[in-house]
Amino acid sequence: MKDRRIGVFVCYCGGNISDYVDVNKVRDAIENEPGVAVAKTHMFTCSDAAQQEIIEDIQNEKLDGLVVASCSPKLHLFTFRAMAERAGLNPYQYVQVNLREQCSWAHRDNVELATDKAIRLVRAGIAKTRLTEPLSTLRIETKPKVLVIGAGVAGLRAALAISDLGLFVFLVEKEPEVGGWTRKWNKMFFHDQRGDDIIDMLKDQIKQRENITLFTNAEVVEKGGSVGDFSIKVRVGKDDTISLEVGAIIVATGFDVYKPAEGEFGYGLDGVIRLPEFKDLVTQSNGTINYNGRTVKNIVYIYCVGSRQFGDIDNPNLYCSRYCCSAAAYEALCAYEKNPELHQFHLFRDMRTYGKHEVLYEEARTRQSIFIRYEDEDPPVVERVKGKLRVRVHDQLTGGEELEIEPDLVVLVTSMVPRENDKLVDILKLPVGLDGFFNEIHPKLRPVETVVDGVFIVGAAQSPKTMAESVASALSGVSKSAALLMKGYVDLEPFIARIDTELCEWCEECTKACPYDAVEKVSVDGKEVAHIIESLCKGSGACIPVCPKDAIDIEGYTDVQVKAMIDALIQEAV
Amino acid sequence: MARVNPSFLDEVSCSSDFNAFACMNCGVCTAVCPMGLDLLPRRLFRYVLIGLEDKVIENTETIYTCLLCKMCEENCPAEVKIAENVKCLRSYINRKVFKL
Amino acid sequence: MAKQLFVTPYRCIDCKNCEIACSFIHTQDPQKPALPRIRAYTFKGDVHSVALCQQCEEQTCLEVCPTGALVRDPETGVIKRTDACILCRTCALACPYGNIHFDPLNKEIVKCDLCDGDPFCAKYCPSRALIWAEEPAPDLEPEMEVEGLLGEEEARYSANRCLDCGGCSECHECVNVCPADAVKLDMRDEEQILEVSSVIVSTGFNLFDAHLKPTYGYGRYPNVITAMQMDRLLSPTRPFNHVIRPSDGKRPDNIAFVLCTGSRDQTVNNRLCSRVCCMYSIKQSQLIMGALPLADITIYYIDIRAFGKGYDEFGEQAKAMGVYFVKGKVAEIKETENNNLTVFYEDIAGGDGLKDAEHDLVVLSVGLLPNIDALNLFDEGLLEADIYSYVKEIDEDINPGKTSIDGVFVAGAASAARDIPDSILHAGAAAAQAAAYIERMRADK
Repeated sequence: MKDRRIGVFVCYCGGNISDYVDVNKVRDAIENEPGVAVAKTHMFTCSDAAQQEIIEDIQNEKLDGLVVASCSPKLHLFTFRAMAERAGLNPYQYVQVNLREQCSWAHRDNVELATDKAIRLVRAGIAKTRLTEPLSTLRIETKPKVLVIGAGVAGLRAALAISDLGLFVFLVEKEPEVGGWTRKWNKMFFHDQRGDDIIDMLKDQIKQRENITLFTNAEVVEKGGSVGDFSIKVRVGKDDTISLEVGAIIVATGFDVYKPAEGEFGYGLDGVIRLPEFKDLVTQSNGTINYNGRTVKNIVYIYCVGSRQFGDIDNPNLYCSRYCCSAAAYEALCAYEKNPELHQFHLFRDMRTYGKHEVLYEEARTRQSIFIRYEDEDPPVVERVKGKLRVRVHDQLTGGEELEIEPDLVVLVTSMVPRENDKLVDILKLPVGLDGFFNEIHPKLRPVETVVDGVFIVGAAQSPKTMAESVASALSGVSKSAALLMKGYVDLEPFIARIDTELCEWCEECTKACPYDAVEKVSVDGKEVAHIIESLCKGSGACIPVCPKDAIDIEGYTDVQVKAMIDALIQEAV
Repeated sequence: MARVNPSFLDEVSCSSDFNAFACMNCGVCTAVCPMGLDLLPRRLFRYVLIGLEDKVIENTETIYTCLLCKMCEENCPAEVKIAENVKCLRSYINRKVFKL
Repeated sequence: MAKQLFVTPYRCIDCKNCEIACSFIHTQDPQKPALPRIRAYTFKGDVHSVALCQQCEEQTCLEVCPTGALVRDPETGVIKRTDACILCRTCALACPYGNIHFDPLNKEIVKCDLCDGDPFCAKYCPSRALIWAEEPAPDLEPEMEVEGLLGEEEARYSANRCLDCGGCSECHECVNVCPADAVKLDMRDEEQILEVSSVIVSTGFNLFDAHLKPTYGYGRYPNVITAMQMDRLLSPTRPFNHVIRPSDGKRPDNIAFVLCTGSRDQTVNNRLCSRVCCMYSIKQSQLIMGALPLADITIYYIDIRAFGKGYDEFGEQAKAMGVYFVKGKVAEIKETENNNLTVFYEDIAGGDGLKDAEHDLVVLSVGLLPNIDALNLFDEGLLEADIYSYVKEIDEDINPGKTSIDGVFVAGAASAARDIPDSILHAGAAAAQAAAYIERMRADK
């Protein structure tokens, strides 16, 4: 091992670290470690002034390795990598040690041992840095084309917005018609626009765009490649399969309406219907609302059907479906508009008419809807007695009084549920959350991005949303795709697997273990060995433990490095 | 078990309209009542809205205990005209119970 | 000999303390500072002095007053204005020395009344140009070139009067000590003109001012705080390292959250739901559980609006951790012994009617209001508002973020109360639309 010149900078974090870890003691303990050329402390290493000083140290001391012991790399890894690069140091010879989240914050009760641990952590960082090598990012040219899966309101709007930016769009819809649920619906809250009008308008605009290609009756059947350069196979109609090359994928597959089990809140009884069906009844009505030839006078809405479930249900939907309270209150207003003589009873748990939707709730009340609150553990009972519907419920708002209502119609305010998308999930390798919806990287800050780079999830496929929210999310996905593709290239992290072809004897174990199909068989000097396709490898490490010859390593996280770190960690602190 | 009776409301509404629909059941009115009347006015109004006539008549005394001080009305986040409604109920009781 | 006000012009250093002292002592309403009765003047550039009523024998002012509103005190000889004054200002014109003035703010005629025998101006004159004494100040000794204005004792006393009031005295110490060289005293407001094709308005929201809900006692009871303050107490860079209550610095062990403070409430003219308060209160209660494991936490609510992805699960988790959820809006908060607080509410779910509960810290979960400053960013009336004074989205369903001005988009809580996930999505939408707008402009050229 050649002599290294490593700079180690320990951060106070303005007290966040230094209140519990004696940072000067840490500095003193490691400054004579082999390879350490500079060891200093800073009040805030991330401050511009401290960064400038570190840059000067890197240049003046001709450092070839860098350790900053500060916060979580989630916060500042890229800050310090960029700093290293500005100083002329290869950014992958920088190692961040997490002294805040993993040490000072976790051990406030014991300063002495916290300092002890900090010394070990920094030593491990130094041990790793000693074995770093300069790496470079993998640059991939991107294709200026986007695949949008699902042509509901979110998919259609996303396609238009991508086309606006001059990128090509392939829009793939499973059904023969575009428009999804929105096309089937009439007036929708919050702005009284008709769903079918909106879809027609979007469809007309799409027809005029030369850079949008729409496939209906079509399904994605295969995905290869990676961010910026995906190759996609789409089955169109029964037998045709076409190949597409795209730089990004937007998944806008939407939702399904919850189908209650037989007997759930009386579902299956004559006169018990779901909210979407009720919407149709209201649309069709002229004056009175009729169901099966009978005039409806009294309506009971039961909320949270398929949402926030409890009790002994298999795989209950624990989540709140977000749109239903507002949608039901709005539908009651529409019904009132048709027939002000109606008596409408809403059996709810919490009214979640958030933000401006509160006005819908308020208006529904003033338009004589009566809201009755049922307890989580005591849901209403719907029966048909002597040919009449009967609903029994304990009203929490009236001191738990048991009420009996004889409605002509029971409307089950059904939730949004995730679509059956197993095939697509498998093809795209998309993560699915506990609730069955696609999972984003970060619910707050990165809500449309997924762990699969270049694949974005928008609309109700990510979680229940109103139409306006789905569209906002679709456009957000467009922003992300455009930011990715309009630059023309992507740089990928170099932390990928590396095969030692001398050791490898091609046993197929690695290619079986790889979830990304990144291992192929090649012949090197007549010997069959494994080869890593750089653009596909995610550096997941799945291949490493299965290799019987220990012929695989991850760049930046080699076995030797990890072992050196472990040795450093178990060494006595002082 | 109480049968919901939507037409009871029409009976209560007299010359001045009874109107408690805007109520969002927050309970502030009950809590600010200087008389400490548990029942007035939120739950009482619910009896009317749902049509629980017996419950309303059962509470005749409470209805007359109200001072009409409008403490509740001042604090009502939904702007329900609570005192008007109580007057309306009194007029109903006058007709129904006291046969006035 | 009776005391008199002596003026020695050559001692005057033009500090105008006399004017400030005079105004201060005569001000009744802080919004309307009184016009000083005494005036500092500078003659020929470097001679300073003051002018004030001489209470002179000529008494022209007295004679011209049509209502007899000016009278001379027979004992002290001081001329005073009485309530008979009709503001005709004749006296001000008549005074040969210009020492009677009309105070336009307070709408009254003002003149020096020697502060009823204890003139304030003299007390605050640092150079003894004005003294209230029986005899004039002695002349400076001819050989003394510099007069020590204050003796050592006086100087020490005056130095101790310094309040560290925070007004910058430009001593430049901060510039000298800042290791990051971050303090610049020569920075000025700068106006820059940027040429852009599109604008995104992301001016956020205003927080409801808890003072406006007086029944909750915010500002009167020390242990009623807002959720914003609680957030500060809980943040990683928190000031005290512990959750403590303001009145005595003790760790609270029974904390209440009052939801819908300033939201869904017509008594404060906000019928809207603020959308974030339920969740931030639940978040805070979970954090408090971590910081104070033995504390009881109660959330008083009308409806729990845990509507977003994972929100309901998060709420259930709080319940499982032991947070109490009580359905009933808090009607009133009263202070009891030891600055503890009693909240009054109707226990709606329990059917128990009127109830009260004692807590040692109450957190008001304040709501979100529109930031109306956003509407003034453009020429008047151009940026349309909706009926709640949020920036209006003219086509929210299909073009979220589009405003009444072509090329101007709105993102986040400037157009409606939004939580972080929804703000981020909305901002992404605004960005996509702004980009599309710029592309269209380019294509049209």
